[in-house]
Formats: sequence, structure tokens, C-alpha cells
Amino acid sequence: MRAISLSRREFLHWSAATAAVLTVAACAPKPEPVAATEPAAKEAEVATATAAPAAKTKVLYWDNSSPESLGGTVKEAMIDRFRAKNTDIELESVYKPTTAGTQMSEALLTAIAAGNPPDAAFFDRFIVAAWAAEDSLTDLTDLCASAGIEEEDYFPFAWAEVTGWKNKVWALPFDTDDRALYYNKKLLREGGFDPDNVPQDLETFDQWAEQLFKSEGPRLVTAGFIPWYGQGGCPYVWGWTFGAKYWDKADPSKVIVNSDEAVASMEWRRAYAEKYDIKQYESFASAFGQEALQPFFVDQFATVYGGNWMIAQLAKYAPELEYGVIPMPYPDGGRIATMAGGWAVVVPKGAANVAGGFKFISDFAGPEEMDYFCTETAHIPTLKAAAAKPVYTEDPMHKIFMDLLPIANTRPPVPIGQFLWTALVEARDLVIHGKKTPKEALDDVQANSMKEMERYL
Amino acid sequence: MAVSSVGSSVLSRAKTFGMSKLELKELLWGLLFASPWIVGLLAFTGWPILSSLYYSFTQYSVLSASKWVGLDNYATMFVHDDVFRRALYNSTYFAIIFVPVGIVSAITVAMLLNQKIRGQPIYRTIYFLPVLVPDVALSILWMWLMNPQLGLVNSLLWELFKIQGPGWIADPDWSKSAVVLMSLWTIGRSVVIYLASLQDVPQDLYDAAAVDGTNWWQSIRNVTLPMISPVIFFTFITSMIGSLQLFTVPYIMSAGDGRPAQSLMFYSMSLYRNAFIYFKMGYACSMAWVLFVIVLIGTLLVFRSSSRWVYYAGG
Repeated sequence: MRAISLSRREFLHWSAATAAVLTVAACAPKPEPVAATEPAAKEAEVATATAAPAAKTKVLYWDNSSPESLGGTVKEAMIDRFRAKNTDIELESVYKPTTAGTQMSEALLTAIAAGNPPDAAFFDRFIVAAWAAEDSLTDLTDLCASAGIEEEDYFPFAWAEVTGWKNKVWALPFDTDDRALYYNKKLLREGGFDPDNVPQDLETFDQWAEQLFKSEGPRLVTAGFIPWYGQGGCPYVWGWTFGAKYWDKADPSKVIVNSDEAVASMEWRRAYAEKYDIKQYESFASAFGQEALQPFFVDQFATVYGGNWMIAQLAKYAPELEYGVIPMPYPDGGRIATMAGGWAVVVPKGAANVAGGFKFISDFAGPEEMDYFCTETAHIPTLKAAAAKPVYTEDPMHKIFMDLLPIANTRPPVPIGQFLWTALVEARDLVIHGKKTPKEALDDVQANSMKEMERYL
Repeated sequence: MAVSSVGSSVLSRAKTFGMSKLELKELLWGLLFASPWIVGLLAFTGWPILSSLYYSFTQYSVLSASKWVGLDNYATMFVHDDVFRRALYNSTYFAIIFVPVGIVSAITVAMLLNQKIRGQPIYRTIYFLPVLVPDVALSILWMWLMNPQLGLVNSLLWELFKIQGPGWIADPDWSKSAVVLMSLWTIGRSVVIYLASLQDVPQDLYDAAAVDGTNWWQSIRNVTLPMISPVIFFTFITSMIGSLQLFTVPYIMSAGDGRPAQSLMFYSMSLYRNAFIYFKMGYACSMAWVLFVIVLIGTLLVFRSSSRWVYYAGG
């Protein structure tokens, strides 16, 4: 019997045809996944094209807390409670970290641009205005009105940040935080200072800080105070300390970054850089750890401008560390600078399930869950009613932070928010390395920022 | 009659594009088999490139529609943007240092690995392994090795040579050198290519040189290098292109913002920022095209000079 033989050409033709057919089949859209172990599984299979019997709507939520971190585990508990209360919603929570050096996620940016964003996302409140100006967030004004969410419920700075663009609601404020000066009592005592009498004026404080620096040969071992580390990395803080004003709500089209007070604050930072050799600082800082090994926890900083959340971290990682907190010292003509940052939840533009997304975020950022999150992670609620609870003022350290809230400052909610931040951080970096003078650096930022603003006017 | 038969044959050849029927049939089948790749090339490479050229003349945030602004982006770049100048300087500085150093190191290592010693394949593998390490892991590893206070590099410099090591990535004057040293770890790719070309150098040339009484350096200069010059030419160009486009390493090492003091703000990092953080995709596209033109000019210059120093043994 003669075996069937194919010529090489015929074989290639047939395999090409088969490959093409398989490719087309693989590229076809997937059928709806079958509902899991149901007694009526067969009926469910038959009815695959139509929705499963208990019509679950899907809500996709992107969060930026790593699942192992404190924030991540707390949020997971909140999400589980939402799932239990809302069995008609299938909530999927995905971890999407923010980009290094920024507070945003370009995964979210590209998803919105591509038209398939999540239905809800955890979002930094300070860039809400910038993203809203680019038409990437859903306007929540009407949804808030029907859900009874009002301006008076929130601290003014929080509401201002989410309504900074065209006075519409673009996000629901979530938590906030503020900052003050932490000091290590033991190191202060060793330096010959009285830890119960830390000065509130900047000049005396600078003298204390100078004494608290310790080196081993050329290497820095302990720093008394370094303005641009810790939360002092926020470039606005020192301007506020010296009395500068960066933005005026009455005239939202302008920012002023090169006011005399801002330049003075830059001079003060440069003085610190020059006193102790910037290269030593940088090499010292390059060895800093995170979480349990943060420099303040391991005696590398005698004082640091830190956030209120450090209280929970200190309790967890360095319970024996004796520390105190005071509002940040300021010079004559300045004021106590405490930056209130914090996060929010948004419904991105083009989300498939806007109603579901809003339902989730109004629960997630609602009074009970916000309270739960803030007590567990030592953050502060943006809802005034929740923040009035005694639990936030029980700890005398935390009470200091709460008392600062009414005078807290926020970063200008302008469309060029991210640009302004990176420009000011770069300006500071150049000044402390001696590459530009303070006035030069800030004038350049001012000129560039106004040019960037032109796009939005 | 002859005219009409010529006419009809011309027509029939015109219908088949001047090829015989069989040739045309073969061509069409060949195109069909290549069509997935061709479609992919046009759709995923060609189209985005042409789009980015279009967008470079617009103001485009990705989230909203684009707005035509003509040459505005290019004007801003050259006149107003000092970050652009800094970034271009950093990338060029890096390329100028890294390309020659990389080539010299790769050739040296290749020549050493070409020696007939025991365990030669093992050494060759070892020198290639760093190429397989992902860039991010590489950057983080070397950030720790070059940490001025805790890193191995400075500890060894002190222990062995009593030299106080510089600040490496913490010092704006040394950070780019740190990146160069780090990138030298990945020359394995070039080494493998040079190895192959070294083995192609005919032994009788070396024998002739030995007869003429040359020492090792003269034979390298006059036999080895000219014979592998086509490969040097190739790696010079690819290395130049790669180093001008370097992104991952400086981005990780400087936490995204080019610290310290913008010394690690490389061109592609600045481009990335403009595209995704400042919502200026149009501007980023124009930066990309400027980089393309710079690389193109560099490549053309190298091509032009090649007739003087590249020797093609094949004639």
C-alpha cells in the first residue's frame, strides 16, 4: 500500500492555512466565564451568554498600598467588609504601585487614555486638580449631591484640593496627615539640651541642631537636623515656615514661587548645606533604610520633620525610643508650617461602572471606614465629625498634630501641580549643591511655571 | 503580427509586473507567509513612529485631543528648557565616555578569553552571565555596591589601597562615572561578538607577522584590530545608539529625578517625565525626534569615517 505523501510545498500550504485558522480562533473574544460550583451548574453553562442568575456587577479598584504593608492589610479588611455588605457587587482590588519619585501611576494614565480604566482608584489628593484639568476624572458633583455628601462635612483644605479645578467635585477626600518636628530625647540630653524645652524659634533651633551633629572622622553618624530629608523634602514647607504664600484662591491662574520669603527659605537651606558639606550629607543619606530602619528610629537623626503616621511606626518598630513632638519652629515673620497631604479616591473618566465605582468609594471614604483606616494607621480623617473623636487626641503626641489641622497648609491645587513640585525639588537640589543661587533657581521655576500654566488659561 | 505578439507579451508581462507567472506566484506566497510580520511592523512600529512625528507638532496630553502648535515644541526645547540642555549634556557625556571605554574593555576581555587555557568555556560563560541580569536588579545591586558608606567598592578601595573612595552615586561629580562602571558589567554581549570575530582572523597572518619579528602589541595593532574592524564598527554604532538612549539604570539610581543635582537626568528620563508626568506627550515626541536626528547624524559621521579605518577582508 502506498503511503500518502505530500510534496513540501503542499505541506507548507496546509500548515500555513492551519496556523491562520488557529490564530483567528485564538484571537476571538472569550465567552463569559462559567459561575462556580452551583447545583444548577448545567443551566448556568447553557445560559453562559446571558449573565449568571444573581446578576453581579463588577467593580475594579486599583490601590497603591503594597499588600504586605500596614496600609495594605487595613484596606483589605475594609474591602472585605464592603464585599460582605454588597453581595451584588463583585469587587476586584488590584495593587498598582505609584511611579518612583511621583505620586501618580502611569498605569492609570495609560488605562484612562486607552478607555479602559478601573472603576475606582486610590489617588493622591494633591494631583486631583492637575488630572481633572486634563479631563481624566469623572465629575462627581451630582453623585455627591444625591448621596448627601457636602462641603461642610470636610476640613476646608481637603475640600479645596478636590474642587480646585473649576469648582467641581473630582474626588472624595480620604485621609490626611500633617507634620511636625520629632526629636529624640536621649540624643538631646546627651548633647546637653533640655528635651522638655525645645525652642520654637528657628535661630535657636538651628544652634541646637548644629551641636547635635556627630561624625566619625569625615563620615556623618548622626545628623542634628537636615531640612530636606524626611518630610522636609516637600519644597513648600520651608517657604511656609518663612511666611511665603504660593497660591491665591482669588486668583487661581497664578502661582508665586519666587517671593522674598520663599527665597529666604532657600537661603536658609543652602546655609545648612554649606555648613556641613553636601557630599557628606548625600553619602550619609544613601545608606538610609526604610520602615524599621528609618534614620530617626536608629539614632541617625536627632530631630526630623516627620508626619503624624510616624507615631504608629515608632510604636511598632522602635517602642523604646524616647521622643517628643513640637510644631516646627519658625523665624520672625514666619509661621508654623504643617503640610496637610493625604489621599482621596476617584472614579476615572471612562470607567465602565461609574455607579458601582461611586458606591464603592463613598463607602470606602465614608465615615465608618475612614475612621477605621485612620485609627489603625494613625492617619487623620478629613471628615470633621470623624476627626472630632477623642481617640485622635488621646495620645498626647497625636493631639499636637490634631491641634495643627486648622492652620494646616496644602500644596496649591493647580493644573501644573506635578510640574511645580518636581521643578521646586530640582531647584532645591541645585541650590544645595551650589549649582545655582536661591534667587536664580526660584526665578527660573517661576518663569517656567507661568509658561506651563498658559496651556490651561 | 510580430508587433501584436510583442504587444501581447508586453501586456502579459505588465500584468505580472515584469516577472514570469511562476515568479509572481512564488512572490505572493512568500508575502503571505511574511504577512504577519509585515503587518506587525507596520502597525506596531511604523504607525507609532509616524504618529509621534505628527504629535511632535502638537500639544498633546494623551487624555485630551491634540492641538496643532507647529514648531513651538522644538522652539521651546532649544530656547527655554534648561532641563533639556542638562539632559542632553548628561547623555552625551555618558556616551562619549562609555562607548570607547566599553569597546576597549570588550576587546581586551575577548582577547583574553580567546587564549587556549583550561576551562575556557567556563570563563566565557561567566563573562556573559551579567548580560542576563535584568536592568532593575542590576541597578539596585550596584547602588548598594557603590554606596559610599556601606558599599563593597569603597570598602575594598580602603582596605586594599587605602584610598578614600568618592561619593559615587551620591556625588554629582562622580555619579555618571558610577553609571559607566556599572554599565561595563554588561559588555558580555559585545565580548561574545568580538570572540567570534577574533576566531575569524586567519592564523597565517599572525605567522607572517611573527616571521617579520613583531611583538604582541604590534601584531594586535597591525593584524588583529584591522581584521576585526568591521565588528568594531558595528559595536561602535550600536553602543553609541544604546548609550544615548539609556534609561533604566539612571532612572532607578536617581529615584526618577536625576538626583544628585540633576547629574543623572538623562535624555530619555526627561522625555519620560514630560510624556507621563507633565502631560506633555507632544513635547516628548519632539524630544524623541531630536534624539533620533542626533543619533542619525552620529551614525552617518561614523559611516563616513569608516572608509578610513574599517578593513573588509572580503574585499
